[in-house]
Amino acid sequence: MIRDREIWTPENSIILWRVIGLCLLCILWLRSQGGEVGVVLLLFLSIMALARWRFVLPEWMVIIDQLACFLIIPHWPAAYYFLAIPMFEAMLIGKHWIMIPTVVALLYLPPPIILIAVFIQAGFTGWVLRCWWKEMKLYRQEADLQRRSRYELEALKSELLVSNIQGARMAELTERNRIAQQLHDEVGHEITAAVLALQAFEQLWREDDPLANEMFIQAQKRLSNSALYLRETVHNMKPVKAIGIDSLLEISNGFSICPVNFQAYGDTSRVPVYLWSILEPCLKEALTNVMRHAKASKVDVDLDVNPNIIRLSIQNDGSVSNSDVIGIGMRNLRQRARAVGGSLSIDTSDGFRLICVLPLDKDYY
Amino acid sequence: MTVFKFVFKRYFRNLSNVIFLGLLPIAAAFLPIGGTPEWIPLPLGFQYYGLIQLLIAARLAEVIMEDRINKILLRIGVTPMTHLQYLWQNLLAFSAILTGVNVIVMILGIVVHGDALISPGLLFIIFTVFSMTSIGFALAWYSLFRNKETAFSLLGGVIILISMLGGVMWPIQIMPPLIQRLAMLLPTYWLMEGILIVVKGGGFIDLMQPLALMAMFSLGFIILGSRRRI
Repeated sequence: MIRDREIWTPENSIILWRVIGLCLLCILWLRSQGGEVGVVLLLFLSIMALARWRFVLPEWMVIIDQLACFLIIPHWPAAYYFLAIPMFEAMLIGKHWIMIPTVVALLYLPPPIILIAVFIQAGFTGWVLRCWWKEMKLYRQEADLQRRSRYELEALKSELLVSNIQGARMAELTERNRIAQQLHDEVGHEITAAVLALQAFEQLWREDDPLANEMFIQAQKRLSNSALYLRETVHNMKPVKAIGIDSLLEISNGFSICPVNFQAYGDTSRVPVYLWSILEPCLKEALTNVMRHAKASKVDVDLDVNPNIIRLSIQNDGSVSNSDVIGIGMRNLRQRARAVGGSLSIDTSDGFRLICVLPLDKDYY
Repeated sequence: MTVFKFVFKRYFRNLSNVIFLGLLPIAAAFLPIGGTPEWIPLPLGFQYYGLIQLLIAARLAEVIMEDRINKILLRIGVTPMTHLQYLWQNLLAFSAILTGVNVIVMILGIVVHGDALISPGLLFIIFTVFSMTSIGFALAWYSLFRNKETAFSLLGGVIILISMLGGVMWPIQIMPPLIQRLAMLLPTYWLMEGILIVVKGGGFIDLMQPLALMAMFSLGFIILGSRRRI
């Protein structure tokens, strides 16, 4: 989790180092009987530290810090230690060449070991903080990028879900059109011809015309033809794969781990295709969960179709582990349910119960 | 210059502010000569004038703290005005008020005490530079706090403390050596150092060091206090 106010950030650590460094130099000034020049140097370095905290100073400004120290050193030799501050700053901005004046001065004067230790400490801390700061920046960028692509993906997903519904509606309309056309072209013509033939037969029969018998046979033939076409058309239109309530029943019957008690109430023919495409994976997902996690002895599946909503409830009496964690499958289903204005909820208080509620669109038909 | 004008309007609208600003320094100008000839043979009011300046600056910079607490700063933040403009107009107004007070007090001092007020011109320069330091100090102090009451109640004590440690109230030499050295890190020490140089007959060149240090303190404090906290 990302905490709102992180205290140990590289920025805060840099400020902390500067404050501690200046305090230590202040103690050095107090102990080494430094005069007024020491106060001037301390104040100057404090102002520079404050300015660096407040603004982004140019890199070469570190040279000014060093110059100030070199100006004071002839009056107060302990000011050598003050060079630790520019050392830290130079390492922090990653410009090592800025410290050349200090290095030359150190070579000129054989420094005491403690001075070298102070410089190494200052430089090393500056370098570590710089690395930390850079890494932090990199991770932040990476996290931002990931977050952005996740949002884009989610937006894309909801768009796809909406277009899925639209696609299903379009497919259904096209199919209706096709059925109407086929009925009209193949069955309709034959029946019309049969009706005309029957009307002609009636006329001939009344007039006792010998052609009546032939006309009757023709009408009969046309009627039986149209009955055949109708049967063929229906047969051709019927999908091989079960859809709607049959598909749910097929899934329930095909579950072999434990008995599934499937109950459906209401008029299931009113449920549009795109809602079946959510109910089906819901049932599959719930049964897969039962198979994987719960040691259930039976599963109850209830499908209620009201005038306004559809409610699918799947309950098992098995044990529930890691109930807080919602899997990817469940999250996707929830999003799909939301896309059509419904909801998906899980109740683990007594066994495991998955309830999917979807609204029935009255304007659909 | 709206902010600049409004500092005056807001500050002088409050009667207690007017009394505080007028009465305290003017009364100080009438105080008799105190101290000892060895230390500061100046009228008492001028000896303590640094303390009075710090208190007035604290009262003036309250405006910025109030702006922050009352979310006025937030509203200014959405206007085309930058924080820098807001800050420098405020600081200019504060320093104008404090410099005006300095001028009045100096004139009163010359009228009341005559020759007993040593080099009023140099003293005026020192006090004017110290005005900036006090304004900066108040600004930096308020920027450290979120709660108005805490900032106010602590500030009075801190001002008295740095005045005492800096040698405004008594000679710094009577304090332990370590504290004497610590006092050099306080702006009030450099104010008294300047005053001591003046009373001992020093010229403007001699004053350069304390003045420069006070200016550095002001700069540091103003940078610290310039951060926009909303």
